[in-house]
Amino acid sequence: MNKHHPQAVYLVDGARTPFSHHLRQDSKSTPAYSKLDLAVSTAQALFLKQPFTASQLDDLVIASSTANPIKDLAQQLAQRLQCQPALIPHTFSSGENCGIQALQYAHQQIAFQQKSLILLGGVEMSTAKPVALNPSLSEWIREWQTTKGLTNKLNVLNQLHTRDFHKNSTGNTETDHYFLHKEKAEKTANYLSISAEAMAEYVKLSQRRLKYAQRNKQLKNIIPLFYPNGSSLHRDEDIINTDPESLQQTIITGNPPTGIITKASVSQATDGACLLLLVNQEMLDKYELSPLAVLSEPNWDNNDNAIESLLSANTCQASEIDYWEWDETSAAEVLALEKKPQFASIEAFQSLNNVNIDGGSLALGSPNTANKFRCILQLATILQREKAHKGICHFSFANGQSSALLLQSNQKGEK
Amino acid sequence: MTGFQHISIARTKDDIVWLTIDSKDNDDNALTISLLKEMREVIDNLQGKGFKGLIISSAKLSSFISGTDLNTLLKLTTEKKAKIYTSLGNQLCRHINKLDFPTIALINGDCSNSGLEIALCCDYRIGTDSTTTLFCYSDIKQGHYAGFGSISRLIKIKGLASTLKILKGATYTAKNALSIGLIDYVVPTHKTHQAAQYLIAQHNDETNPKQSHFNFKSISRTLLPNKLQIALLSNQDNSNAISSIIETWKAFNSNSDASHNEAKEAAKLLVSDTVKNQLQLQKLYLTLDQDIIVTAPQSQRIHIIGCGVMGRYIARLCAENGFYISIYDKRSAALEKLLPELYQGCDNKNYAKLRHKLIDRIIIDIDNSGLTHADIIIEAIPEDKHAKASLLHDIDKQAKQSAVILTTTACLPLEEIAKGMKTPQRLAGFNPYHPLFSSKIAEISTHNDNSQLSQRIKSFSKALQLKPIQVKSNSGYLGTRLLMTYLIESMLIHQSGISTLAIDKLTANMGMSHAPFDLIDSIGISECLQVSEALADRLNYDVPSILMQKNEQGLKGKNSGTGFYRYKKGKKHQPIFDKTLNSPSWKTKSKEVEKRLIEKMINEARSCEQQDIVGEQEIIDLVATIITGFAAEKGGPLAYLQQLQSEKIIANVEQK
Repeated sequence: MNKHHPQAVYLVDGARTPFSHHLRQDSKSTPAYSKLDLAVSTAQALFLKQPFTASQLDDLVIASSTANPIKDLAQQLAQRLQCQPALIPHTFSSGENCGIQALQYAHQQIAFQQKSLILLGGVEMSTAKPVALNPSLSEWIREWQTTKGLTNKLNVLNQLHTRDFHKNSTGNTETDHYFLHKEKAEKTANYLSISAEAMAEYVKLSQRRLKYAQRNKQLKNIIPLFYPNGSSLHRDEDIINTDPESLQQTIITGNPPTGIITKASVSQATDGACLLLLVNQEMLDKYELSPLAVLSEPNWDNNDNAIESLLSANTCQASEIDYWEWDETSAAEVLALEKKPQFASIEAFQSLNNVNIDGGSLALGSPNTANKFRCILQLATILQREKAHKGICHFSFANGQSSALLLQSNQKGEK
Repeated sequence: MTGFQHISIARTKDDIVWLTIDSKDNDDNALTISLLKEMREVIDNLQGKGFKGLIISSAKLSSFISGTDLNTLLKLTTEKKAKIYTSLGNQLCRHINKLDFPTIALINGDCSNSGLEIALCCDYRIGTDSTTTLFCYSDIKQGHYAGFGSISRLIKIKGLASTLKILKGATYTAKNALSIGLIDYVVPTHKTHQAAQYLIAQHNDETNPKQSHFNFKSISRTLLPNKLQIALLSNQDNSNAISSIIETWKAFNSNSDASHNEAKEAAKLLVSDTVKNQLQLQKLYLTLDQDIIVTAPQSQRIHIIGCGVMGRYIARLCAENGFYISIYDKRSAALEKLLPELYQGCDNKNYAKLRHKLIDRIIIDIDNSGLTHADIIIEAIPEDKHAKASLLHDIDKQAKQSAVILTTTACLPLEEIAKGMKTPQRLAGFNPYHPLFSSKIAEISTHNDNSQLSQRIKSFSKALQLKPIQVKSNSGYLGTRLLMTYLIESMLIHQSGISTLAIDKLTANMGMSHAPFDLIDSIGISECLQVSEALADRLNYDVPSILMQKNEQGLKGKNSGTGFYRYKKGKKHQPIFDKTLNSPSWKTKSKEVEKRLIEKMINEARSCEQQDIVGEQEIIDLVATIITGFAAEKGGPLAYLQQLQSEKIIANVEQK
């Protein structure tokens, strides 16, 4: 019925956990802290601020891309949040871009399917324990248990070697698309001749901006985590805590013999969760909510050209855009904005003054899908804070795809 | 066989009689005289008619027979009336036992006291595995028993020692009851009928009766000479009921006359003052939350401010009863303590259940963002007048119009802390007492008797399974006043040179269920000091200097390891030699101390009565027995005073 007149999609509120390498904190007496627990505590804190409850959700869409995905992550989340039993939640869990797929799905549900309230989000957490037994030791134990007789046992005992006791670190191993990102950054840096010094400078800038925002309490939607062992985590950690000078050193001097990209000049995979609440006009009027922003449908492009098509689809000019949030997969990618010919007409990119003004994933770490939603949430809060009207979020993926969406703050209504 | 009010009878094809109890007078099948009479009539008619079996079951969902009706017991004012009741039950049980076909009790729900006696006289007992199936003999603690003769029957099977252990023991679930041999089978609820029929069929096939569980310990005890057994047991307990059971056993040694004697003894106990007092209090306790509609948990959002001991306790209470709550504290260190406490005592097996029922319902809130949308706001910060007043002022500003604000203050009057509020009429006191007491009552007070509000809070407290007590707003309210009087007097006595251990032992002898110095240590020294300082001016006493000294020394009580006693890993470390206890003059001194303590408490209770703090004086007695542990058999301080006075009058008359 409304196919030709899609409903506006409003972003009402959002919440995220601190991003860190060590979100998982296990204690001996309690069960492991899982991805699900992370999502539950974030969602609970988010709903606490709302006049409605989780039982009024029309849909629940969760994206998660780390290894060993819990297939029914969204299903379990819905159960623990006490949603209606009739609700059919959706989990998106394949590929680097599953976060944007989830966003697109949720957007269509509201725009065309008359859904009124959707919880959308991304959760990433490494499931493996950071340190595990050496596999050869466990093999030896199995052998020891199966052999019988004293002489046989002595034989097996003889095979035990000290190297079997070396501990094996599993933890945050680098994923495939992380390597692809490195490769892509390497290519871009070579093609546009971006130096390691410039990249180090940009990483420092990103870090400085985040620290400034943190000091001035501009990052409002962070939800601290409380663990069963009695500890808690309140702020983004890890990368931001590293000394900027030493960071620069690692970027410049830590380069392998060939190539100029190092671990620190590409955003690092961390743990974290970010959830957004999307509603339609009807819900807004019912509860008299004040939305953060109106979201456009994310558009896709295979040649890193998402911005152009997005602007033409929404009939607006690049000069109208007040703030940009560029997903910082690598320092080289952001620096390329100044040099790429297709962006030459966009003034904002020449100085990078309005791009990622609260810092980005180079400083925060990047839990893949959660980071995408963090970008959207951050841009929406920036628009609110600076009383600006339009902003664009841009994401690029290792496979050459890119995606962008337009955020419009409802201050437009005052015109 | 029709025309019965409380029971229905059915006969199946294979000659089995189903006796289903469905009492008209109450919802939990409590025994009344008329019910007992009907049952006896039925049983008498069954004898010698060639039936194959009798199955006794209940039509109520959550109870088999839950003891004897309280009103029935209270009506037994003379020994004669009591004897009619006990011998009626006694006959019933004897007749059931003598039936020439197997009898089975199908226990589906609460089975306690006299209900348990009836179940015990059957040949088999089948319990369902539902959580409501519970067995207990709580009457023994109150100093009486039903006297239906099943106790001597149980002694015959299990021996005296283990019988007393079962009777004194706490509440048993079906599984526990099976393991101690109280019942024979546990089956799922939907299989009870088949199980009963199967048992009867089996019984008729087999000639040998079922062997009871063999327990080496109980056998070895039974082999001991009788006198030695009695000497061993009577040392352990000084309860009237237990000693009367032992006496019966001593005289008759489980022959058939024992059950007759049981009825006689039970009747004697029933009319005694101590039992009457306790029954009165129990009746009052049960009527506290009658006719109150329970708040539906889903309809309310609850926000708790203050994550201290009290805040965490209320959070747990709410979550366990199905409410969704958010808890806020400005110190995040206090919030960090919450989760470890909730996870305590849970292993991997019951983790999922615990998470579902408890942890997912509690949301930790660091921005106080739950406040704006909450329907019930509970303030639970430490007892500081100014802090409370300013917090309530802030809450009043931010909360939505329809929200109710509750304060858990135990000593500050509402009027004082509500000064800054714009809408003080929605503030109410709600004090479920320190978690230590695990009391099932909560003090409630409102501004200017706002009945609509107090009704709403009463429903809320019933939803938390707490019995609401309406109290006038006043410094110290009721429970805290009585408790602090008791504690402070004990400390003053201690200052005069009597050891803590001696006072604690003395209070135990007086029948007080809480020892004062244990209590202070468990509550915490600084908390006690806070409350006593807040109350000192208003109630005219001095804060004991020993309490201040201990606080200055940095002693905190049980948690820190030292208070009035020393603790190692949470266990009390008792001195072996105690000066006061071993001094020769202690016996004469103890009388004085006892008198001083009781007098103080009676005085405080009387002043509460004079100030009209509660509607009925019996409630003061009830609160005193629950919170201060005043001996329940004395019926509470005010009732005890009346008894003393009437005794004096009698003594005076006799003198003249």
